[in-house]
Amino acid sequence: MVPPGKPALRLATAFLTLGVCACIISRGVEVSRLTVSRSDSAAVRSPVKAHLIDGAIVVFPSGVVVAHDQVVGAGRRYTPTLRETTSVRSVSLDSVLGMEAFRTQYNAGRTITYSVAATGVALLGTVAAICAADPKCFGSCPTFYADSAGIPVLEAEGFSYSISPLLEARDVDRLRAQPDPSGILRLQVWNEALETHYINQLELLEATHGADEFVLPDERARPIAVRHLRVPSSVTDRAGRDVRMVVAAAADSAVFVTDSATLARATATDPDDYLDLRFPNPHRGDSIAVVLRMRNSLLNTVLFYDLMLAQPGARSIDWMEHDLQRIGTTLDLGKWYAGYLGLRISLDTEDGWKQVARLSDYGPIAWRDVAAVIPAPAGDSVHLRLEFLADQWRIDRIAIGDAVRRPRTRTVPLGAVTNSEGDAEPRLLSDLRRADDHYVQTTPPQRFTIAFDVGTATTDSARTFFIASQGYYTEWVRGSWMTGMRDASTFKPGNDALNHVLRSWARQKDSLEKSFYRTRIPVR
Amino acid sequence: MARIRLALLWLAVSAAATVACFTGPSVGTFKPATTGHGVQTKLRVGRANVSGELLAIDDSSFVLLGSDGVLIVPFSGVTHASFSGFGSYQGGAPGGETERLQLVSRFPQGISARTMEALLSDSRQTSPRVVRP
Repeated sequence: MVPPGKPALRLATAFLTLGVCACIISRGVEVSRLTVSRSDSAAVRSPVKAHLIDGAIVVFPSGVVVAHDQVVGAGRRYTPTLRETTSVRSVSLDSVLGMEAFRTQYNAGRTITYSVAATGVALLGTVAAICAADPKCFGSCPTFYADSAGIPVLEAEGFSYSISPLLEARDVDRLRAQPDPSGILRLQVWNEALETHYINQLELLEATHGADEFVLPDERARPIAVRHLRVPSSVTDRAGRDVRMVVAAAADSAVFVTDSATLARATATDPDDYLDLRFPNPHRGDSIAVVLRMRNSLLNTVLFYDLMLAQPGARSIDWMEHDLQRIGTTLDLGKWYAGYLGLRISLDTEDGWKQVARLSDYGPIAWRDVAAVIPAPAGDSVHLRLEFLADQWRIDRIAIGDAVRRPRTRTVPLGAVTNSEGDAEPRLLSDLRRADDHYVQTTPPQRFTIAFDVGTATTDSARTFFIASQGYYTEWVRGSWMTGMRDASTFKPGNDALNHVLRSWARQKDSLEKSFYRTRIPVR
Repeated sequence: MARIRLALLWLAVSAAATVACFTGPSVGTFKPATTGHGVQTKLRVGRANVSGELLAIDDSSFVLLGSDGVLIVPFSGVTHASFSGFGSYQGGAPGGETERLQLVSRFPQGISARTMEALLSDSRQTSPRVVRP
């Protein structure tokens, strides 16, 4: 497990750097419709504007509490011509046509650009520190599909866990797709969840490598090439099961799933499952790559949907609109998340187990090929432990490779965007080519096609492609989450939350996957 | 040790907060978030510039309140549109941005006949002025 002090120290260092260098933080305002059920109560702490049936406008600069069919707050009522204003303390929901909530949105990409120009890399350190604390967690994301003889094939899911603007992240996913004979590689980008996606940038990475090399992203999303993949000689899980054959081959029907007894026993004080693996030591070079093909279970989704959003009911609007815009809240969440979730790799040493790598979560939809580069141990065998929250992962393959190197990689900019009708979308193309303050916003069931001109390959090398996506998304608060008795407080990371999610997941896991895929929004 | 780290963290956050500066609006300085006004809008129509408060967006045009009264500016004549603190685009209809822009207009739900009457009366107009290239 990652000691919680390390990310905090990194963040402190970054902030200290920030403190001694002036920085420029880029921001803008975002606005969204505010829908509150009559039977529910909600508190929104960002400015709210209510439009009344008679044309009047009421502005609540400090937010509102909606309760008992009343919108309550310190407001100012304007006549339609704005000639007269009066103070108000409340407005009946019956007289409201619609409401909207405003919030400040911080632009990490532009902030970094400004700050580098002004002061060097101060804020980059801040953002990197936040990323190091790894607040990636939860839900769904934009999905990428390639066309295979008219059938869409799922290739990747982008920035799966960037659930607020502060968590905007760049994600790099390995593709199996290859270009057509004219050198054009096309992907479809789908929004198939009840979310709004804010996509900042899409670009392609092309790695050129030897035909006998396998290229995939490492734990920091940088492409690496490895050779001589070898399967483990033994794999045992915490329950003592021999699961070697389950994880020995990729893309077969066998997938590692935590033993039900291990899940049933898991609590916040002892929440983990693990796999103990042994490999013959290749004795080539000073590092080896642990190669995994895996995806998250829906446990993260239960954490996000049930605990963070549904349980607080309408207050989750406030949590997403307000709390997650604050660095403190986000950092707390990130520290808690990094401490328990993700996958940790430890090496058996003379001093006992030593953690040598950590992989963050990648989402529950698409299989992800990923590697962790670790120091090569002495001795005849490599003895590893993969440790993770019980039943948080589905693992298809585990191998190790050697001859680890960085392949030659080039960036291929986005070449064209077409909408679902096949029409060119030059404005989307312009907005998606750069990481700046122009986002493409999608809602379900929107989709579009992106194309990259990668040219034709030379005959003496192989190519592997990666889709790099940057953005974030916001989850829609469902009507069903707003009804009935709910907790009065928004989500608080901690042992109670972890116990709750473990129990809730154990109860639902058998049925949830089926319903999850059923409720994905059809985009065709 | 943990306490020292925590203290260091908060010290650093405080230091950062005192020296960081911002570009772009926040909700506290964005007029549509704090007043009844819509967003201040500048449109390029042919060779002319038209500016005013965004009152509403209907199916085919922007409705502005300019210094000379209520204006209707059809999308077809707009070659560039900018919205103070909220972005800009290169002409025509706002397309996918329509709903977002409506939310920062004075009347996202549209302008009723009665409200239009009041606005025109306030501007001493009998009908809105249509701006074409």
